[in-house]
Amino acid sequence: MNTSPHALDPAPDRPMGLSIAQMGQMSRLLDEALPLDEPGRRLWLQTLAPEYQAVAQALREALLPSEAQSAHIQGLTTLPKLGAADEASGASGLHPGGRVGPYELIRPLGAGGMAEVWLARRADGAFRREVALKLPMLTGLRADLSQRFARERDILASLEHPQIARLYDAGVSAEGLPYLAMEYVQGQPVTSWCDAHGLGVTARLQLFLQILEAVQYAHEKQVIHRDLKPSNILVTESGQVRLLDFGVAKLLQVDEADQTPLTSVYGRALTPDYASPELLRGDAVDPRSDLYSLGVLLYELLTGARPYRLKNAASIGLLEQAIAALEVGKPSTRLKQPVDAHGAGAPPHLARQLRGDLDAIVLKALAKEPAERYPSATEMGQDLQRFLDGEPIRAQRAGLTYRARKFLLRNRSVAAVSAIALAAIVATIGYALHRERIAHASLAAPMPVSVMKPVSDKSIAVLPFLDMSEKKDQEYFSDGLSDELIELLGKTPALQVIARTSSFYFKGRSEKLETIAAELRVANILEGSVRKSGDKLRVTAQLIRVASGEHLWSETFDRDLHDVFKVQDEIASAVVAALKVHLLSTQPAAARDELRTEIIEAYNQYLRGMEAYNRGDDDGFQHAVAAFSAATALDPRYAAAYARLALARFWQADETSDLAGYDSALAAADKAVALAPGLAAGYSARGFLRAICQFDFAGAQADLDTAVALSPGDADVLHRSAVVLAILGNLPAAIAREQAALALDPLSAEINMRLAFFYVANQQFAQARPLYDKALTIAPTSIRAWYNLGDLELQEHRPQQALADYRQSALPSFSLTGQAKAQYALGHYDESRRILESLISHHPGDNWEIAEICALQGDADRAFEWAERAYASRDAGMTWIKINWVFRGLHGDARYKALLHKMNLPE
Amino acid sequence: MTQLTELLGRLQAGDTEARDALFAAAYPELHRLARARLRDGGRNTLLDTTCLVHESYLRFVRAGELRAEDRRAFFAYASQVMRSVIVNSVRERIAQKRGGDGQPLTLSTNIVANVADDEATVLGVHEALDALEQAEPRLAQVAQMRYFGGYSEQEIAETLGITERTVQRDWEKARLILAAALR
Repeated sequence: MNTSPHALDPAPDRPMGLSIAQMGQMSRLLDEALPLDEPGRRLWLQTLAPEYQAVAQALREALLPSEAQSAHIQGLTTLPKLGAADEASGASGLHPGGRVGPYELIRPLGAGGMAEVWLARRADGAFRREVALKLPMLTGLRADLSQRFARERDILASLEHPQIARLYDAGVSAEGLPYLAMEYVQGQPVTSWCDAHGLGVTARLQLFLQILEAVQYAHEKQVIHRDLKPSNILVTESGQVRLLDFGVAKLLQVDEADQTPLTSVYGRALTPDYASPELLRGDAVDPRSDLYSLGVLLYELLTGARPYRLKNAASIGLLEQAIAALEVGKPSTRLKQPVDAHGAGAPPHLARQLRGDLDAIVLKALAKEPAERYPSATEMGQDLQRFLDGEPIRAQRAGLTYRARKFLLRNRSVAAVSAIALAAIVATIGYALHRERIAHASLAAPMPVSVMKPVSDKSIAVLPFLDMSEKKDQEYFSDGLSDELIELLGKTPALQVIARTSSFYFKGRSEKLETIAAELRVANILEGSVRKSGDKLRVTAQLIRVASGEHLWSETFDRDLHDVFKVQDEIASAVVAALKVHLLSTQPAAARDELRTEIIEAYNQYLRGMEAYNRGDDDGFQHAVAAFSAATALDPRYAAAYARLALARFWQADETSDLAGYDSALAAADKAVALAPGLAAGYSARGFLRAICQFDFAGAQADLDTAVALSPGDADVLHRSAVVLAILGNLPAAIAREQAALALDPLSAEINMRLAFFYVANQQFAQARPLYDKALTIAPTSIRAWYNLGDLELQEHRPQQALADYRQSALPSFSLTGQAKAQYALGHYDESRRILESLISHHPGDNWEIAEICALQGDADRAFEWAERAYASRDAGMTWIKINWVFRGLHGDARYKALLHKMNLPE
Repeated sequence: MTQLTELLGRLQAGDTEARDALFAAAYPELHRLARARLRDGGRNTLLDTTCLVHESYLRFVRAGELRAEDRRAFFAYASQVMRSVIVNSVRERIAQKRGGDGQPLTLSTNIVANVADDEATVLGVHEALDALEQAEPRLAQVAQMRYFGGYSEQEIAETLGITERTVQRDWEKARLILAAALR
């Protein structure tokens, strides 16, 4: 107020300090003066033209705040708070001692938005206990509020759980004021409590598990919170978690018909930061919406910040769009400062913990699609518990993209699914931990009885030779050498040689030989080391009979690099001799030479290509193509390189469905066959490509039969051949061949899974199950395995179990397809259709999967429509059409027959 | 709801009268928001108000699409409503404290001695803003949205179709001018 020293004058009428014209002047003058610094402003003021004297004082005060500090200027930022205690007309006076319904107000506890909370007690002294009385200041309430209250109140009052604040009573006072009497809880929001007590990750997670338990309890009682956030999740002094306002959001819905996404509970918006996308959009909300909010909370608890990096959270419209569109960053990358204020979780250590599993759990909870989140609080809790116990979690770790999915979808035999899953994890530091878990997981799943046979004396596994180079950068060479030995020995019919995938499974692990031998079911093991430096090569090798521990043979070779093939031959010969096997190789020496190259650099490139190819990731195939091409450029007669090139080029083209790439792959395979008609690799590659690229199954079968004849001990060849047989509908033959492949490659997740798949197609469910289990033990994150297991459950009429399995499949295309099928089987037709539509709009390219769902849903027309699209895009899934269980019922349909005809499949 | 749908239809056809009617239909809601704002003052984050207004706006666009100008107009209108509601509330309170005189209140009538600083400030800003609207309309708009509406700078920028930087400069000037007017 104006406390002028000349206060003796009567307080004058207060004219406006400035006239309109003067305001205009001030505006223009400020434009000049504001950009200046203080000395500049002083000068400017001094030289102000005389006609502006009237506003000079005002300008001075505005520009030089150090002089004549006017409270008004400082305070004029926003509306002053004009008293909270007395509300607008209409409400009964809210003051201590006032009455609301049966309660007497004691003192205000707080207020926010359109609700006030008072400490209160029963006026009639019926109960001594104090309650927190929540008074939503709603206007526009519906007339039937009392009835609605009564209905919901009973449900909410029945929530009795130590971690949930009780709702004692709800009603509407005589004046029409609604009230909620709740348990009075004193505590701190969980986020600040954790910070204040300096809790580390484990302790925070344990607290979080408490929260999940409470939420699960409420969900089981059909109550969704809808507004979970730290201010609603308090921790008491004794460290107990208490959840507030459960179900209150729904209770106070102002008008359901008018519901907008941000419709506030009390007329004030829900905190958008924790709200799920479907809530913000105004779609139907189910318990998984709460899980989303909890995901946000977990993120915040672990990193100290919320997951959304929105530039400016002030505009809700933008927020909505942003949430729908953004990719939530992994918690481990978001870590700003140690979660533990006392430094016990310094960033690198904490980031390591977070990376991988916790990332996966949090991101799963934050999936945009409810169907992709944890289906229940319990399951989220279980995964967290697994993490705490150091066990493998169910949530998928980051890394597998659509490309990987296509990669997995194909009938790859060279690299098992497990290798891919491992490759994705290699990048994270959690890799070592993960490997440990696999080691401890039981590998001894029983094999189908029909495949069990005694371990032969003439069986051998070649373990990856160690890289002894100085810089340890020659692993591709030592791996390559081991590979070659496997191939060489594999050509000896009487010798049973374990395939690469399985014997390389133990790479880098210090497993006892007895364990390895038992796992692989072999009597002998060949191991060694390679040291390549410049042009010199030193190789050591030893053959061990495991049962007795006896070294049957060992030697060290010090040679020139050029002699590498000779060295391989010598080792192979020595092994063969030691095992007393007659070298009745079906291939004459000349043919064997076709395998190889005279030019050492070509061989080097070949090995590089193998290494890249076996990596199985996107770059891998590109590098592989480059390396194999280089090898063939150096030696145009290098048949083996052509054969590998064909496959590498195929996988590369497959990523982008590049049909021209398929052609060039086939050309390379043709070249391999032409150059070396005695070489199995060429036929194997070409057979595979004929089947997949051209749907030429008859031609494929011919090629693969040739390959099997040329190389009967090759698991890859057997596997591919089995696949083609199955595609052609010859299940018994396919099963027999795949069993043979499995005997040679018992630790290939892919082969285990494929054999199980064949069993299921042949209705031999009991035999399939242990194989799926084994596949999942080897590769717990195998997308295909979980999905196929789900199919098994559906066929055994266990849709609930199927649903659970499908959900484990981490790639949405598979998971959603499965869920659509399972929901249909459960009778939830609407949900099934909803998922189908979601699949159609969000996952283009899943033509075959969509066709399958339509067929299951009984819509044959739509099924065939999508099947046609699948055919047009050469969708790999549809190669199984003959043995596909869903389409079994459509075998009589003319369209089905037409499709088979197009695909060159017999009826 | 059919009335609103009809209004929306006319609105899309460019009928400005319909727009006014439409916005008037939003009045009760905005009224509620303003009261909330009045009670909490600047204590709540700016987020609350803009999102409440946005939400209110959303109710009416659910049925169809309003053009960008319509959204802006709505938001501008909303801040105007807020202002009038707030000012009315303040006058009511003053009247109540004085025993309900029924006299129209402006600061130019000599009742200053009985009115608290805060309430006087609000009324003062309101009246000064009237004048500023004539001198510098955009400054006044910005000030109204900021002070009475509680909008964020970004929201104001979007609504008026200017840059945030301009909003900041405008608000800075408006503040100083209004403060000078209140001396």
